[in-house]
Amino acid sequence: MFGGAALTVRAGERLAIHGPSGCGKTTLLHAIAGLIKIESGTIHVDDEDVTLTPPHRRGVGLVFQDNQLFTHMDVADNVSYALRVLGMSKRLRREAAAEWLTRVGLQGAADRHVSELSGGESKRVALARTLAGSPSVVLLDEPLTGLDDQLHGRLLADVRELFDHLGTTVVHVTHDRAEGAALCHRSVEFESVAHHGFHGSRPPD
Amino acid sequence: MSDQIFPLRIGRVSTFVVAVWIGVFLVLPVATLIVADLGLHDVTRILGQLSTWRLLWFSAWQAAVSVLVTGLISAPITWLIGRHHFRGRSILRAVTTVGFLLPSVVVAAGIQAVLPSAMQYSVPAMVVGHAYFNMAVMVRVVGSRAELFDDRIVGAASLLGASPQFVWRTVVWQSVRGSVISASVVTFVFCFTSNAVVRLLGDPRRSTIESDIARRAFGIGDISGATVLALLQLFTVAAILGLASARWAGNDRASQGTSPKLPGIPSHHRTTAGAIIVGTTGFVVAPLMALVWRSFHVGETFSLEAWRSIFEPMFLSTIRGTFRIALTAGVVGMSLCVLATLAIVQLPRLGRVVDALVMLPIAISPVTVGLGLILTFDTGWFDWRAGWWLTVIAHSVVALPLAVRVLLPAWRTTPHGLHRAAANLGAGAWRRLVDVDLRRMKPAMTAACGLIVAVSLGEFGAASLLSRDGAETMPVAIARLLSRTGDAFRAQAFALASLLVIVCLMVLVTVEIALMRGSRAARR
Repeated sequence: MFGGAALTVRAGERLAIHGPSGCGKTTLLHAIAGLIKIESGTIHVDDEDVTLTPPHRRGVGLVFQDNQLFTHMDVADNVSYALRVLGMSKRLRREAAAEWLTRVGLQGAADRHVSELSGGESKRVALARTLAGSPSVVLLDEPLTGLDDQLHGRLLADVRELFDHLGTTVVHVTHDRAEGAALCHRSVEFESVAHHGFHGSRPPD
Repeated sequence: MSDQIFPLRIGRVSTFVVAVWIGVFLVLPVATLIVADLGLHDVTRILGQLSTWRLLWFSAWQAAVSVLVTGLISAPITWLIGRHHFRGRSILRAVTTVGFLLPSVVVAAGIQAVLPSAMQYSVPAMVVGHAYFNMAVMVRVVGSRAELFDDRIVGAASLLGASPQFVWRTVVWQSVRGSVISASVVTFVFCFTSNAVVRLLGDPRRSTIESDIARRAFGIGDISGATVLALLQLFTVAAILGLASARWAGNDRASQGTSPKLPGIPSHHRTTAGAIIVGTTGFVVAPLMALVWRSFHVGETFSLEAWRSIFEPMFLSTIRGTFRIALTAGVVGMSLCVLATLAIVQLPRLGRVVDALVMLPIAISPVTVGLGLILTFDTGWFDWRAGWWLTVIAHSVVALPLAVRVLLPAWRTTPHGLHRAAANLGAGAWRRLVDVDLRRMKPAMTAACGLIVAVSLGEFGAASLLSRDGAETMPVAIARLLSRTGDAFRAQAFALASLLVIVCLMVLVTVEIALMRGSRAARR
């Protein structure tokens, strides 16, 4: 599908991928995360070939476009899910969740049910849930879509500050060029990737 | 590119376990019945008797009359629940379901307790019993379909010049026809294979095929005769279900829609609605109240003797044994149900085979299952009949179709994206199964488990064959006491039945609460 294209993201770099709806941006992220199997080509994370690695062992975090929060768990259990998978005790998980919730500006929301969250709060919880697992790479699938202008601006600033602080490697898919430019160091155009590959600036050395 | 979130291995393992269980404890026993104890001469002997065809004829016509009476009794309440929104509607619907979920022996005992003596042990008494038992099928199946009917289409047809009768025939009836037929076929099969109601309420000179299977196997030791009848019943039920599905399949699919907002009860219908509510509630509750009332009377005299006696060691071991069987069947049946549902959801092709396998117990009656289990596991180096677990196995098989139907819709509503999210957060296949599916499924699993426990508590057909003297289940004890002469025995039967009603109602309330929680969670 991606027609022999190659894309490299340096450690600590934030890359924005732009492109119109339906061009395969989400598919690309899901392929990197291992949620779908690719028929040809390879995917490397930290110089390791993870093409055949199952999704739960890739160390790649994805913030879904529609959040995909676990509706049968409260906010803290959502945020600390990756830590639970690692076998961390409940007390430590709750502490970690509280810390991550503070970082994303949702202090005190640990015991709330996810159905009570607003759109912006759900996005913050989804982001905290992904970051709490300390992934090598964070993939953002149009994470700020559907928010009003004021909320969008505030969340964008918060997310940028958080990523600046953490130094996370990010691949950010969005159709909003301004959002990509505000959050990322570099951007590529996905429009004609199916036939000609990625277009955009080279990765910094 | 292909999805790699569902590793098929878990589904295949589940399929294997379910197939082995059903194969060993349902297919093998039925096959043993056919192979071990049946010769051609048995088939010709039984099928050559006029009495066999009389059995078939009686089973069929009493079932047809029962369907008709069930329809007539259920129609008003189905119309009220299916077409109107009012306070207490879901409670009323739960009330109509009570009869279906209570043990058939208890229902029969309750109806016996209210019927005038002139009607005792007669075909009309049996038909009333069947109507009581199956009202839930009509209300649930037809009522749910009627809810989807949009009144505006009647206005549209009228504006096109159609008379009310024409509109009824071409629009209203067409939209509910499929559900009426489905409910009638299911009711027919239940009444055709009825056992406890026939034995406790019916004319003792007349048997259905099912009750005659039990009589032959248990009463006169004619196992080969019972086997021929079991096969005759199996083929007849399969033919009815096959014919119905070929003739009427797709009736409902053609007219599926989203549920419109139901209107309240119009003021000019309030009296009628009140009468329907009081009448239906009375019909359901009166036999249960009578049961309790009669348990406190020996003859015409008030007495606590029956209640005192059922807590004496003999009955106490029956009560304990019944609960032990029911709770174990709940755990075993629930595990099977989860595995079967998992296989059905995960494997597109093999899942269909599993779906058909778990539905098999509907076509094979409990008495046949019990008989097959005895013949298979009470010979040679097996001597399982002495153990209570054979009843557990029978109940886990008999209750499986109902439990899977409860769990399947809930499981299918799990958003696929949650599996992706869990995988992305590091959860492997088993962990996703536990954290995403099973944790979300808790209310539905509680409901399914409760239903298995309720079915096991009241199951009579298989238990009547598998229970040994001194280790019988409560329904078997109730039937035995009711068949004995003497007011004290009847009072004991009514006391045991009352106790069973109380326990079953508690289980059913738990099931209803779990289902309500489940549907609330699904809406989130």
